[in-house]
Amino acid sequence: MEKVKPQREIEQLGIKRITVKAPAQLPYLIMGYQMPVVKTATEEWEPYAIDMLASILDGGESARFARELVRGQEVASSVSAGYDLYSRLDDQLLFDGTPANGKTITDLEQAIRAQIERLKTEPVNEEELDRIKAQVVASKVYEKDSIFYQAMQIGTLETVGLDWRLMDQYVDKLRAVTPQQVQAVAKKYLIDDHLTVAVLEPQPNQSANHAAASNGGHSHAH
Amino acid sequence: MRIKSFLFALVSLAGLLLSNPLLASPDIEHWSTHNGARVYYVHAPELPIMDLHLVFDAGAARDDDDPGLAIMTNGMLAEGAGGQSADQLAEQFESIGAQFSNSSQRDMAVLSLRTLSEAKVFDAAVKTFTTILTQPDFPQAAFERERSRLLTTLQRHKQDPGSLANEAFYNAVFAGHPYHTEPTGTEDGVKALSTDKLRAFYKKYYVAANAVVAIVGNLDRTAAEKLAEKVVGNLPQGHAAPALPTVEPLKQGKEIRIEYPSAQTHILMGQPGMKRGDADYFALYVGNHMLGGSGLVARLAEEIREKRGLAYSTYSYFMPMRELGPYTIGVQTRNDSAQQSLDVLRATVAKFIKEGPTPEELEASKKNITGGFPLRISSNKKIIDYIAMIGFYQLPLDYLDTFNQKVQAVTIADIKKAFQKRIDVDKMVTVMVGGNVNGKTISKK
Repeated sequence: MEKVKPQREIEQLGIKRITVKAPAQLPYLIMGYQMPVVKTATEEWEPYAIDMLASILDGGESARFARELVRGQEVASSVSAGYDLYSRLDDQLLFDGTPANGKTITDLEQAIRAQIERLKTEPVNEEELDRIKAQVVASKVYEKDSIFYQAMQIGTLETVGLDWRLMDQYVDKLRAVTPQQVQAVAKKYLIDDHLTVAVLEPQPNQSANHAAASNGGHSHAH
Repeated sequence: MRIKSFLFALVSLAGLLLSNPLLASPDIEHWSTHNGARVYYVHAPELPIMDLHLVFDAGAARDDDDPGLAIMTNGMLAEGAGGQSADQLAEQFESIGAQFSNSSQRDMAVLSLRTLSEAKVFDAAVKTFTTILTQPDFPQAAFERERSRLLTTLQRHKQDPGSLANEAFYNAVFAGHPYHTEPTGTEDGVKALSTDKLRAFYKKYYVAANAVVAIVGNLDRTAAEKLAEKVVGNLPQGHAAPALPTVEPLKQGKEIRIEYPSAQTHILMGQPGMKRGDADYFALYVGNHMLGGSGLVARLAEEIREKRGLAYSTYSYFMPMRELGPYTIGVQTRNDSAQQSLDVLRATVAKFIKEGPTPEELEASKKNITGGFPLRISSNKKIIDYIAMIGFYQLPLDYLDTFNQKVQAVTIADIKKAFQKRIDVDKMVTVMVGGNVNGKTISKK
């Protein structure tokens, strides 16, 4: 395969904020932090620690987002964290969500930021870490139930120029992640200068009245 | 040399496909628990895992005067049970890597569990699952929160033209029938719910006689019997839900246009279609495959996409349910080509009903469906969905064994007859959601 021209993003030197105004009912927030991935990382363990960090926040119903933002504080109607450690180039750790009824986008952003601060200041406890590891180990067995998914993984890795055998190392590498490593990647990468925040500000639907009328009034029998 | 070995591989593969017992349909075993829950089980020892689905006839078709009641009841089960909080219940599953989920559609309300089959993990997962099923607490605070989240979901539907189209479609196709509302309910309905209503619904419908237990995994028959008794053995026997009202055929066509500021128009058209176990199932299923069920090579795609470039894709499908489920034909297209697309869809469906398929189309469809059959049952996950469906709708246990045979037996005459009897383009509901849909006339036939 011919070597592709390196595509490096210019280093981000400050927070970026984007507002989109569109007809909608609900506000929506996305926050993204630049991250290395397996393909680009200089420290081999870092992408796995970032993956673990994302799971601490959003790895199931007992993870921090569901437990504290959706249930405890009731600040989010939905909120999630996403990171793909097998991207071809540097990627983003993305947080997105919709505030709970009566809460604002600012409330949600602050709640997510508070979760990020906590990851920087206090090491995650072993019990939380073990819960994620148990899920990862079990998922690895469940994956065997899907031929399609296994093929997809092999294909994904090879497509970005990684060795397909990495898929078999994933569990061990994730199990090796320590609380200190999660804290270290939080401090190093979850910084404002590498953050982009995008907000959807709902605008009234100009044809809303029209819609109500046409719903009832324009039904034709033929 | 390479060609030769490739041919050899091909011949061996063909031999393998014909002789490999692993490609045979799963062997489904069926019995009932002491309190009357019907159990369907497939032994799958290849992987150290177990899947369990509990299906109740407790979907939105049972909402009655409380749209949203079924889905809220289902969703609240894991929000507190046996005195434990949602946090604790989730921790118990996730600390051992077990996966719990729940869902509620029009017919079915489902609870499912996937766990490793290793005894310690398995026992712990089943214990938490059973607590959620048999001792839900419906805590008030969690109820308020989940109700608020469901209202947010309803708001989200209002900003999505696809959801708006779907809602209007069901409303019109199933007017007067329990299927007409969305499983997520209505704003007024959800606001009027209470934990008392949820408790009453749970008590009435989450009972053994109204339950189907599906089990697939690495446990033998004796262990499966014990599992079923453990999970549902303590539920009251209760009664199976009564029969749903019959879905009446539409007497005339109806057109609904909803203005929405989108660049694309969503078009849905259709009518009541068929039931699970329908006498015309195979004729309609195979017929629709070539009309709009086989993606880019179906007739609708040929007319809409290949010949005219009106849309990236278009489709039609039957969704068989307890009573007649919808037959749906859909496309999304530029606002200014909505009219033309609709005309093409109608003409294509009408021609198919009148003339039926060609022998070549029928042959290709049969090959595609029967050849793809092994992929339908290629994982425990897919198998458990099938056996839960077979159990819920009480289809024959040899449903999968005879599937290909019944597909093969379908003739052009069968398809023409079934479509002419069941599908009528002039009596369909048509929904258009998009920009400027009121600015044009929908053609009348």
